[in-house]
This record gives sequence, C-alpha cells and structure tokens, in this order.
Amino acid sequence: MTNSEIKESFLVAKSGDEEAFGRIYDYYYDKLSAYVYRRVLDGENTQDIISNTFFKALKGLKRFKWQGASQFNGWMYRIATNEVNAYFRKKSHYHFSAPEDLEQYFFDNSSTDDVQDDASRKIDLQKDFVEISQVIQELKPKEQTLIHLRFFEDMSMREIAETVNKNENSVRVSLHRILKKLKLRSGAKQLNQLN
Amino acid sequence: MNDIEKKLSEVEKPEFSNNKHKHQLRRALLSSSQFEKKKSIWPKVAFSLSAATAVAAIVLAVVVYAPGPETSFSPDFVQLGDSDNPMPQGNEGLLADGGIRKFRSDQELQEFIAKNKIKKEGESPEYSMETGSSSIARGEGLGGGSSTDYSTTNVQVEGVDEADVVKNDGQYIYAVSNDKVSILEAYPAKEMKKLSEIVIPADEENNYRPEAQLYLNDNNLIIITSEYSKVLSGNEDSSRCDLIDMCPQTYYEEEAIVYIYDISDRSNPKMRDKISSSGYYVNSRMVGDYVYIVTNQALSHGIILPSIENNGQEEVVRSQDIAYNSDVKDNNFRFTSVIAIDIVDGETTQQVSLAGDSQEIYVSTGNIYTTQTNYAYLNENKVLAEAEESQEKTIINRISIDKDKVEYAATGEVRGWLLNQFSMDEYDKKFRIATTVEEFNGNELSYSDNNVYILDENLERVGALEGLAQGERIYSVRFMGERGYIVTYKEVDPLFVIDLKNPKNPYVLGQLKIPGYSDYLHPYDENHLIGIGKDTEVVTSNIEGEENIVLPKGMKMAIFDVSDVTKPKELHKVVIGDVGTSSEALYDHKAFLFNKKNGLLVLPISLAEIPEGVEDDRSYGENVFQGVFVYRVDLNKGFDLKGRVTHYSAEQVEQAEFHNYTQTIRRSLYMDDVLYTLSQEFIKANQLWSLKEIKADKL
Repeated sequence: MTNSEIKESFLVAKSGDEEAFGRIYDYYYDKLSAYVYRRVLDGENTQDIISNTFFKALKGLKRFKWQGASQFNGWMYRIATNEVNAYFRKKSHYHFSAPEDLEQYFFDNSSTDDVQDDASRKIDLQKDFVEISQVIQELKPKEQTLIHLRFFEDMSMREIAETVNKNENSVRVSLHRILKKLKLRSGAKQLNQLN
Repeated sequence: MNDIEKKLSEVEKPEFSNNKHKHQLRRALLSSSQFEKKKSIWPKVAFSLSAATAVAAIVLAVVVYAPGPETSFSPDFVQLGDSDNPMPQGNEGLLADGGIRKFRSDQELQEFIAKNKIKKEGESPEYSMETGSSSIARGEGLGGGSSTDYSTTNVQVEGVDEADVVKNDGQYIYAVSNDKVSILEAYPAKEMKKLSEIVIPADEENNYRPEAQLYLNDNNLIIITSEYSKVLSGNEDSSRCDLIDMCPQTYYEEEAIVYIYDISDRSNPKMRDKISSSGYYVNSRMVGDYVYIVTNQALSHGIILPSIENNGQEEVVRSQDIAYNSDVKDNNFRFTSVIAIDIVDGETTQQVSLAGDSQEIYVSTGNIYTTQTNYAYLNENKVLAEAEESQEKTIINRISIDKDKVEYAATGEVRGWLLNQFSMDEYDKKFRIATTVEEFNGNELSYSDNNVYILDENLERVGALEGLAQGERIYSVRFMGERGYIVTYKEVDPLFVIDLKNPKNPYVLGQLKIPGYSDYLHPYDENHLIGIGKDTEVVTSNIEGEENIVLPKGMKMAIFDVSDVTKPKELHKVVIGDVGTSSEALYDHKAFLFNKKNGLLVLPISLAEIPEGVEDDRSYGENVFQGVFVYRVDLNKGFDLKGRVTHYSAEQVEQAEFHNYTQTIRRSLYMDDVLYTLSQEFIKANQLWSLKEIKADKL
C-alpha cells in the first residue's frame, strides 16, 4: 500500500466505508501481528492483543486527524504497543473481549489449537530469536519497544519518534543507552555460561 | 557495531500467520456498530416499539411556527435566554472574558506554556480537510472560445472559495493529477487538449505529501501543498529559538507551501511566488484577491517560533506578535497561523495565536472560525481511555479577516463535538454551531443529544436549543439564513427544521422521520433541499427479547419539501444500489455537482449490488460499477437517471475490476452542454444529456 492509498483508505474509512477500513486492516494486520508476535512470542496472546488493537484503532478513527502517513503508521503502532504493555502488566488477566454485539463472530475458537501448534513450531525453528528475546525481555517494556521498532520492525529514528511520541533525539539517546545495557548483560550472560 | 547490535540486526525474525483469525477479526470489525455511527451497520437499537412504525415515513410537527415581530438585537445588551424560553441549564464553561492579548516577551510565552499546559497533550479529533469538486455557478465567459455557463467548486458560503483538486473557468480546466497539475484547453470539447503541466517540486526527503489543491484567480493559479522535511537545529536556526529555553535541538517540521503561478500564457505557466509557513496545512479559503491559509504548529517537541518564508526571505514571528487568550488552559497549545496572501503582489501578512488545534474551520467573508474539540476521554497516550465520563466540548476561535488584516478576535466554547464545516454558519453577525454531546459508560455510548448554539461576536452565548434527538447524533447540517436543517439519526432519520430568526430563542419548527439518513444537505431553493445519504431498514428480530436491528441498504437521495415548515415532506427519493454503495460526495461536498437551472445533478458513485438469489439480508453487495451517475432533477418528476460515465475500460467493467484508484472518477464539472469527468488519470468529455463521449484524454 502506498502512502497515498493509505491516506485515501483512511479518509474513506473515516467517512463510513467499511471496505476502506478493510484495506487498512489487511495491510496492518500482517505488520502489527508480526510485531506483536515477536514481542510476546505466543500465538494466542498475539490474537487477543491484535484484536484489541484493531478495535481501539477503529474506535479512534473518527478522532484521528490526518497529518501524514508516517504519523498514521506511528499511531497504529502506538496502539499495538500500548496493548503489548498492558499485556505485560496484566499477563494472565489480559483478555480480548469482543464488543457485545459482535461476540457471535468470536464463538468459534476451534482455531486456538492450531495456533498454538503453529506458534511453538515456529519458535522451535528460530532458537536464535528466542534466545535474543530472552535478553530483550529483561528490559523495561518501553526499552523493549525501542529495540523492537528499531531492529525488528526496521523503523527509522523518525518513525520510532512518531510511534513513541518522543522527539527523535531522545529516541537516539535512549537506544544508545539501551544497547550499552544489553551489551553488558549479554556479556555477563556468556560469562556465566562459560563458568 | 557491537556484537549485540549485529545479532539484533541479523537474527531471523519470526512472522505471524493465522488466516483464520485474520478473517474472523476482519468480519467482526467491518460489522461493528462502532465502526462508524455514520453508517450504522446493525447497531443495537435501544428503543424498540416505535421503531417499527417509524420505518414508514411519518411527519411530526414539534413546535408550531409562531413568528413574532422581530425586535432589533443589540450584542451589547446580551441576555441569556428570555422569559418565554429560559436558557437551558448547562451554560457552563464559557470563557470569562474576551481575554485576548499578546505576549510581552519570549519569556512570557515560555512561562505561559509551561504553566498552563495540561498534561494531556490530547491529540484531538475530527477531520482533516480534503479536496473537493465542482458545483454550480454561472460564468460570464471569458470571451473568445469560452463557454457561457460553467460550474465552479461547490462551496459552502457564497463569495468564499474553497480549494479543490480541480478548477474550471469556462474554457480551461486545471486538474491535480498525482504530483502534477495539468492545464487543459477544454472548450470546445472535441478539440480538448493539454496545454501544459506543472510538476509540483518534490520535497527534499521524498516524504509523503498530501494531494495538492488549487485556487484560480484570473491569470493566477495557486497551488497549495506541504512538505514534511525540514530539519532545524536549535543552534543553526537561532532566530527562531533565540532566548527560548524550550527550543528543541533538532526538529522535523511540516510546512505549508503555496505556489503562485502566472498563467497568462496557459501553455507556459511561470512560477511567480513561493510562500511557505511553518506548521502543517489545516485548510484555506479565498475571499476576493486574498487566499487565507490556516496552519497549525505543534509544541510537543519544544517551542520554536513560527516563521514565514516569502520567496526565500524568512520572517520569524516574534513572541510579541503572538496573540493568546489568558483564560485558555485546557488546550493543545499549538501555534495557529492565519496567513493572508495577496494574490496580486504575493505579499503576506499573518496573525499567529496560541489557539490550539484547528480541526474544522468555517469562513465567512469577514471571519475565520477555527474549532478544537476536546474529547475528554483521550488519555495521555492519545488512545481512548476506558470508563471516563465524557465532557466533550469544542473551543471556537474567531479570527477576523479584511483583505490583508488578520486579527485574533475572540474565543468561546460550546458543549459537544461538531461534524464538519456545515455544522457552522455566520449570519447577521451571529455564529451558529450544531453539536452532538455524547457520554460514554466505559466503551458504551450511554447518552447523546444534539444542540444548536448561537453566539455573538465575542463568541458568548446568545441562545441555545439543547437536548435534541436524544440517543442520536448529527449526520448533516445546513444553515440557510433564518432556518437551520439538521439530520440526526439512530434508526430513522429525523430532519429537523429549526427557526433561528430570534437568535435568543431558536426552536424546532417541524420534523420529518423517514428511514435512512442524509450525510449532505444541499439547498435546492429556499423551500427545498436535496439530501444524499444511505437508506436503511429496521427489522424486528425474530428472536424473542432481542432488539431491533437496522440493516444498511443502498445510497439514498431525496428532495425535501419544507414550504410548510411545520410539516417537512420527502417529495421524491431514489435508492441507488445495495449495501456497500458509496459516494465521495457523502463526505466531500466538492464531489457534488448540481445546477438548478438545467436540473443537472452528478455524483461519483461506487455501485454495489447483491447478486440475485442471495437471500441473506446481511450480505454485502459486490462492486459492479464506478463512475458518475448523471441525473436530471426537477420538483415534479424527481430524479431522472440519464446515464452513467466511467473511466474504467469495457474489459475492466466486465470483470468488475474497480480497484484502480487512478481511474476512479472523483469530480465532475460542466461547460455549457458538455459534462467533464475527472479521475487522477483521465478526463472525459460527454454530451449532455445523451452522454455520448466527445473526447477522452490522459491528464
């Protein structure tokens, strides 16, 4: 999706066209679910977080003032990030609750098992990622966010700044500091393993 | 790069795929009643019994029209309410006084912001401005080979032009197509040809930029665009940061850019002026030979003084020239700049104020009104907070304009949020605004009503009509002199006719309840309105205890007869397509083309139809056409469909391939008896009324 397509879809969706929202959804579902999955490494929770994320985005749509595609992108990621943070805070208490009138769409949960299988299989395949995630997950959630956006979502400093609502310079400084911290920790970890 | 950075960069990332969930969630989202109240896809319906009867059009007269002798009204002697109609309660929060002053120093500016900034840099809502299209006006003709009658942009206020992606002067058509503007000699149509194109200079970083918009003033073409690229450094750009501690080190800034092209030779347009203003482009208008640009500059990164650059000459606005209202605390603290550009000589003047976000603007020939709705339930992460009571209110700023004089004049406040520019109006020195107040209990909308406020020049309340249509919200508004028309909706569409003759005492003259709703109201004449919107059907659930459901249907167009204001009538109606049908004209009045003289009404439409044999009343139509529907409208016969025009090829139509935005018709206009339609890629000329194609060209 190009930026002008995103803008067009956004404006049309805001005016009340569900198909246009569908286009935004299709595009961001893949991006955001990958992002969330990498952060929580669990298929089922990813589903809950993503569902909440999109319902919040839908709700906020009317109130969102278009100022450019990068700001919109930042906004979408910010909602997902807030949900991830809420999940880290609440853990087992974190749930997706469908709006009452839409529960019917979520009755069918037969997919859950597939997802778990799917998820564990994938993680098996990517031990390196699990390993590095363990190191990352020792950071504060806000620090984790910066690392993920920078290295796994491949965002520029400016895009990160849009997403976390900070200025670019402070993002740069924070990242530098976090990397230093990670380096120390992974060094210590390797040392432990040697011992 | 250290080890950890290398690892982070090179590790193989897992992807997530679960198509089943993706589809399940998609279906739920697109069926959500929250999705947009505008379209009301199967919302839960609170009141059930009356609904079924209301499906049939019924006419209710709420208050009988009883005009009294009009007494002259002096704004110096404001009385809130009168004995016949005491002010409704809730006159809260009007700002105590005019309170507008200027900062005495940079330091005062800093201190004011630091002190009054509420830690809720709430991004607030409502729409950005989009581009529009053509409606009707009669031209004098340019002599030579020009038409005698042609359309111009469908604007809200006579004498106040609105920027659009297309402009028409009866001989030439100026059209934005991606990153260029094409100038075509379009009359006579069979010799239509492109004379030149202006490539809008790319911004430095090739960032996304909003689509350019145009004004036409004689031999000047004004192109408005924006750039999001400039990097400022606190040190290098000291003139904008002098003495200000809150100045950021580096800062990405969006700028509004205005180009003025001399087009006396249409084949060879020459750039005459380039004017840029700090802050992002909010909206603009043209009154006479002046274009007024409104920009907003956020202060979330620090304070950097606004500036204007006119052909390379930068002028920094001093703190001492920035106006503010000392009473305003709960605010976004943005610099709002209103820049007057004299098109003839390219000179600029501006007024910068600390007037918050400008979401919707309304412009009369003498005033610009900017509005900022504060949605109480946006938390500091700019995400909807749960379970907070709503205290939505809208702050209104009035900036007076008179040629190159621009002055921040007043601030006021009303309850609720407004839908769009048509929710506002100025008449006889009074400002009228229609709003919806909503209260939420958690995520559930627990209460709503609708209001009309009438404010004086100081934006203090003169009169109000509150509590209209509880449980519903406003879908469209049109103020026409001493009357206002409001469409609210939940499951049936009441059209309210409101008497505004006495600004102290607005009241409901009559109302009409019909299925569906109108998103846009266009005056036909003083006693008739055209409404375009969506048709709906209320179905009683066959499951006991379950509430009624509202099923969306196709698009709907109607003519309302308000000659008897106590009994508005739906005179004619037509339903276009099935659920899923939509039109850009529903949310952008510039896509609506209407000429009363010959009854021409043209709408761009994406037509959806439910295939035959599908019984499920909740299924959505399939896209079967995109293009314009051309109607002939008159009060006796209603809407007579003369034909359709598309920019998609016969093959694409056959295969129902309507996904290519660049071929989607967005605007239409006419010169004499020729209809022109424009997509991003093409322009087509068709004969009225046969719609025989005369010529098609690439833009």
